Amino acid sequence: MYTRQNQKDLTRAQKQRFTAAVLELKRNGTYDQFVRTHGKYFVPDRDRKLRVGHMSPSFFPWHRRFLLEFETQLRSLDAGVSIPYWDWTTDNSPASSLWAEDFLGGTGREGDHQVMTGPFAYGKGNWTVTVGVSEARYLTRNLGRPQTPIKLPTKAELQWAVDDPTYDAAPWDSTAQGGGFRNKLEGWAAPKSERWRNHNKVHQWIGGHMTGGTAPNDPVFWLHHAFVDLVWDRWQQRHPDSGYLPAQPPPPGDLQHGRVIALDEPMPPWNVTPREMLRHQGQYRYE
Amino acid sequence: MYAASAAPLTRRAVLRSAFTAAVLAGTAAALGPVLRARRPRQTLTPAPLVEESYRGRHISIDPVAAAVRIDGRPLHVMRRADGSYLSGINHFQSYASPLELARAAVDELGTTQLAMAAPHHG
Repeated sequence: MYTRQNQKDLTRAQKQRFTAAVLELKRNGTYDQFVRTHGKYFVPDRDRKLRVGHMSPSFFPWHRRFLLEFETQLRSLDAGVSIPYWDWTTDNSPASSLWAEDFLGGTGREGDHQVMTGPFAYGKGNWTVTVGVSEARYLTRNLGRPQTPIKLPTKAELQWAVDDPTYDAAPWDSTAQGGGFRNKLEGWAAPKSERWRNHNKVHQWIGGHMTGGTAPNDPVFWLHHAFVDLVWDRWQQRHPDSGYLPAQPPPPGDLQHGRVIALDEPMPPWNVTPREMLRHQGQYRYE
Repeated sequence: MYAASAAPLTRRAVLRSAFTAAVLAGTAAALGPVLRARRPRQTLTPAPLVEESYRGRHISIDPVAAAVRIDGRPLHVMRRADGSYLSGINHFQSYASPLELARAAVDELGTTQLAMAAPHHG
């Protein structure tokens, strides 16, 4: 049993140990396997294929397992390390200590959006992007997207998702508008005036690699998703009588048949079910 | 020997094809406006590329295939269930048209070029 801490409470030494373990996974090639896995399992919902990671009910359990796999790798190098979480409703500025030289480094420079500060700056020699959709070998960010500014999600926006007592709703994709915690927190469901919320908006606010399928190239990916994981806990605590949906696979003839994961169906690439991911007590807890 | 016996067949086939093509061409000429309106793929000339210069980058869009290039490099285009567009650059936001998608990719790329070959999805 170990604790995932709020990133703002980490000591300088804890930040150093976390980034050192991440850099070692990058050096030994493990890190880029995680980047590939994330890209591979992003299947858009117009495709008639199985969607496990995004635009689907298993968004939460799939990412929980994805983070656990990564955290296991980190902890095999340093058993004192865990993935910190970033509460973006509170630490909502490019001036946050999260983006400081001694932690993740800051935004990208003008022009090519190359991150120039912190341990993941290309110039430091330890962070070369090998799995990407652009030619950039350097990590890119564009915090707050200055040319078309956006803000990080507010507490009210997050609460709007947490308050929904229904886990997810048909058609179990990015168009599920009739309610559903999953689509509201993943961020496809939003009032017309806003269009994007919560998880999706955070990816956009960070910019650079985080807007694309190879988002884990930016180590902030893990801190972002640890908070998303924590919010799933909050939702479960608020709605103890609600559960993962769909409980049963959509029947043959349903357009979503074979395209979404029901409660007891295995999620690739690990063959674990959402039911097995509903609880993490005994493994880790949030501070 | 085979060539000699095959030749008349081939010739007939060619003539038949030419005749069929002529009839089809006539039909196509008559129905042209209707076909073009309903099914753009039926037109004999390829649909013109939509091209523009945006923030110093060259965007080209094949509106039939919804294929997007930025400075000649292909942008991986995907569709959402509601018909809107996502790309390899923008996975967490969708756009109403390929042109908006291309401009958003340029905004995110800055001065960086797309890769020649993008990683594929499952």
